Amino acid sequence: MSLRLALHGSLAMILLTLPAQARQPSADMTERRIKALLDGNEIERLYSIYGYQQDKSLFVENIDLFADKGAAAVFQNAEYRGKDGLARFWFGHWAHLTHNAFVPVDGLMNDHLLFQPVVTVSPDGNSARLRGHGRGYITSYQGKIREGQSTDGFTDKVVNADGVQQSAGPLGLVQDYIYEHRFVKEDGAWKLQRWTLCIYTTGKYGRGYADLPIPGTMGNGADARHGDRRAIDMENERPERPHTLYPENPVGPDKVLSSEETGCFIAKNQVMARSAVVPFSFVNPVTGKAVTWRNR
Amino acid sequence: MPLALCATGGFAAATEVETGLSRVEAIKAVERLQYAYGYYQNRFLFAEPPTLFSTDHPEVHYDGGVWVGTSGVKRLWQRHFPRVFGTDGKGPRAGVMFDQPVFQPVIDIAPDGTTAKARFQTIGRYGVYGKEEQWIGGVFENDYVKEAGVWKIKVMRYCTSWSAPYNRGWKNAEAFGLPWADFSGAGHPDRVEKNACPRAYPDGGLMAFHFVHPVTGKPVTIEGKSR
Repeated sequence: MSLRLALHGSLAMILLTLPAQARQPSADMTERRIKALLDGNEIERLYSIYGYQQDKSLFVENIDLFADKGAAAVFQNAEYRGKDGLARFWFGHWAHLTHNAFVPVDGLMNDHLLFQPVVTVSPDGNSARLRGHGRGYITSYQGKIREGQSTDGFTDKVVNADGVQQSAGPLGLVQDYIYEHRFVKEDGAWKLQRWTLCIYTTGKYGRGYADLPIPGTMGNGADARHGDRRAIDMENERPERPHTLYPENPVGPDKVLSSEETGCFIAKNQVMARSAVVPFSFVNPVTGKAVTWRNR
Repeated sequence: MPLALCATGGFAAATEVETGLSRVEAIKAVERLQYAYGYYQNRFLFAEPPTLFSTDHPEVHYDGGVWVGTSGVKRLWQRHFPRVFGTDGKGPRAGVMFDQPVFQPVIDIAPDGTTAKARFQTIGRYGVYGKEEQWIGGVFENDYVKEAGVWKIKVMRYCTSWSAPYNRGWKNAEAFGLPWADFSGAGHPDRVEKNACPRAYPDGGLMAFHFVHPVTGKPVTIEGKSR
């Protein structure tokens, strides 16, 4: 958005060049308003930059977006605390997809379009919240990531009649996300503090989010029947890779939060299986009241 | 602009700062209002959208249905949308999805700072679990008004510009009977304007721009152009 590009320079210049008279009665108020806009702009910028880096497996750079104090990441309700926790998550979870490469790798498509940011800066200007909406297009070419290293990319899994999982070729995913991030100003710079991602719909690219259960695919049993999908999804509500907590699991989370609280159910198609809302960090912009919903 | 401020200084410059600052604040407020609307609508939190409207003769033009006044706006969200989506109107319903992320804002604040117009784009999905799923592309062209310091929606205009069955794609996308364009039941609009929206794909059409071309300064229309 052009505003985002232009805002920092022009408003900062106005701030610097405010003439003496303008600094009289309402100058402090004017300065606060300009700062609030610049803060909001900086937070939208961080949100976008995170996405560009994540698309290209720049995991080290994404961890570097976080503040030292209170850093946390919550992925599908699995909470990783502190910079150590972030490292366990990004290197143990995401880098698993790239076979521990922290750069773009051949064969992996992991693109996230991030939009619709709603930023709320705290009255003291030292922290902020952001809700965002993302869309992901994800696959691995021919089901492989990095030719010659592994075939364990995004492959569809067939569960045969004996319950044994087998690879069934490449899997293209389309996903929608809700982000609820917290930012903090540390040493004069805005940083991510608490990053929260809920994947609330995921589907095979070719079939979408409302598809019928396909026997044997995407976690459905070989004996899946028409109409089973919802029941299957609701039974399968565990984080993407079943979590044993750290330190028993060296790459595990510190805690798993409750779905009712976070609004993030782990069903593959939450919007199909649940009446869930990820709680809003912002109030209704007209009434000023919080909008709430009891997840079930 | 900042250089001019340095040169002129004083009261005039302070006014110019105030005008510019108010304009940027207004742009962000309108953007926030529309984004908040998007989040509420996506989750069928139908108590919220009506609160975002002015109470001074608001209107909603939604794919040809026109709901007029505060009572019309309330009827749309309390009766019409709950009926067409099969919800109780109080929140999300498992198994039904109408998810429209909102992006690509072009927001223009009127010179007096009390009204605004904005265009937004959406590419959403409508889906019923285990039954069907449609891509739904659409455009908003809305009017906004600032009342007692708060920006509100005055007129919402939404037109679906294309739709296509999810799993067959859009190559030969046939027209989809938009469930929300069933205007015959409870919560029906005050009137139906069949030609209010440009015809959807595969027909060619353009939802009129509220803004002029940013370089030539001229309105961009398709009127009178050979097709």
